[in-house]
Amino acid sequence: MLLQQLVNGIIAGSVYALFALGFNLVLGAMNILNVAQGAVFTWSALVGFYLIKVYGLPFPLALLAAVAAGGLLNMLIEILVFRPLRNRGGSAMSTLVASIGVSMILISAAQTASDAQVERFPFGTLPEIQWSALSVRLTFTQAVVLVTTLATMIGTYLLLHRTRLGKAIRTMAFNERTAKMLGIPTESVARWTFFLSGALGGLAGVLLGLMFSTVHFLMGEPYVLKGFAAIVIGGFGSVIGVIVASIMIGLAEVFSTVIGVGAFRDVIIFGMLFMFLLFRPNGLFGKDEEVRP
Amino acid sequence: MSFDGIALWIRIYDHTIATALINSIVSLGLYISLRAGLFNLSVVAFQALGAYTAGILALRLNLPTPIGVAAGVALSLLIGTVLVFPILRLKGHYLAIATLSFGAIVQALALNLDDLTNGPAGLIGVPKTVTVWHLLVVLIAALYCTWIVQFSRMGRAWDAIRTDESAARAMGINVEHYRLVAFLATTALSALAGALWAHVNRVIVPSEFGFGQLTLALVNTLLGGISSPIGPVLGAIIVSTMPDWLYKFEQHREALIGAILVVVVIYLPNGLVAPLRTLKSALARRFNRTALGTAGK
Repeated sequence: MLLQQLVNGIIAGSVYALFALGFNLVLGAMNILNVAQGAVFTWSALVGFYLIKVYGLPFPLALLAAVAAGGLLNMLIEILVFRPLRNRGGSAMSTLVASIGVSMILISAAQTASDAQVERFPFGTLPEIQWSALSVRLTFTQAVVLVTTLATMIGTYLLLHRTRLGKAIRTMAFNERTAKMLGIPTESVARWTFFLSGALGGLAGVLLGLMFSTVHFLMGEPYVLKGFAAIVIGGFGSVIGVIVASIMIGLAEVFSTVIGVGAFRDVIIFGMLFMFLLFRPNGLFGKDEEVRP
Repeated sequence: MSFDGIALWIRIYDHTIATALINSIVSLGLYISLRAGLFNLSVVAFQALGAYTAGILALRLNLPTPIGVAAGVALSLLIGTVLVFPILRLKGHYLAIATLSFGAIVQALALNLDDLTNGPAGLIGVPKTVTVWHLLVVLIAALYCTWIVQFSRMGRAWDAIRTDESAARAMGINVEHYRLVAFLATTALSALAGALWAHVNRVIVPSEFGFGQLTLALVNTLLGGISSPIGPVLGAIIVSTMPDWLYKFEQHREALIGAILVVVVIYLPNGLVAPLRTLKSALARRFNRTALGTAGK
């Protein structure tokens, strides 16, 4: 029972990590806190759902299409909103406010598109197989989620540390002006950073929609705040830190339900976030540098 | 229009006007923090604290309204004072996240402390003792104070801190002191608005104190602009009393508000007040020139 909860918590937490990684990428490289990521998450889940339910696409194809949709949507937000804002010298505050506005537009559009219905992926989207060992039950869905998430995390890490794009993103995170002076095409790197971030958010959206078997227009909202918590607890800019923190959050949720204070799990998570901000603002794995203005 | 006519008009649109006035007070609170360069997103949390304190005291203990409202503001200020020291050590996004998560905690508590707050169903039947006139007096008083403060040493210090914190510090401005005052002023105004709202609306539900309400406060404040306290009040009144034809699009209201936010932030970063002010000074110049011209003859 306890072991089972441990597994559930880790799997949920690892999906949160995908979402938070996308958040972290844009925050790190562009210094933008993109709240609209929650709406991108919702839209990807909706796209995945409709492709499977209405067009009968097989799951892997629908997943790919939904992830691409998430990436493109986020890229579009960058092109239509954040870039003009940057060119006009917007502050950190104005980018956050703009992303809140975009988020409201997209959520409202999702409400219209889905007719405010709570949907679920059709039965048999993935085969109903389960394995059990040591009193732990693992469903096929959970296995798919776990494998996809792990592969994506490793992929993201490799992309950031082994490719030219990754190097460019990390240089921009260090300092955008330096990146420009080194001849990095910052505008196109910014677009691709947003694409990547949206794709990660979109993947999280489809996987969570599948795992909890619900898709609706407000599904992204709680994950925005969880994403904040993961970034702060994990440490700004640390991939490993964000993953560890997300899994901690997943476990905290599951175990607060086990010990009977499930109603207060949000209070517990945000209490944790608050404590970290107050006593260790650089998070678990953050370097002791000055907090950026 | 006679006085009776105005009174009738107010009775018809009572709730809309009350909402507009409450939102004006909240936006004015947010304005003070933004003016001091604090991206303080805790306004809705303190609104909820004020509303619930006033509502609970009125319903459970039958305390008179002024005492309940004062208690709501006092409790918020107490909590605000505890929070302000750690929160003000943070900057930019971190301050936004901290204050936002404080809001999430307050909302989660309001949803789940059933014995105190009656959970998701909310508190029902708070006596309606606050009228539009009370709100108007409170708003004018708040506006007057903000106006006075803006042109005082404090207001200039806020402007300096917002524009360049290091420079402000180098000029000998006690940054911590002025930011603390700004944060607590925001806390007090939001709590006051919340407590009064409890006695206007008669019903307090946790869902009212979520992200939507926060974005509304942001839209109001930024639409008007943070160059003058008139800005947020103007913004709040425009948004709260959006003409009837907009209510045909009631279900797209959120999208509309989002679009206003985006457009304002990108193309009108100083809000509506800024172009009005340019217009005013242009007119004034023109008028002066003609006046001078005649005087010269």
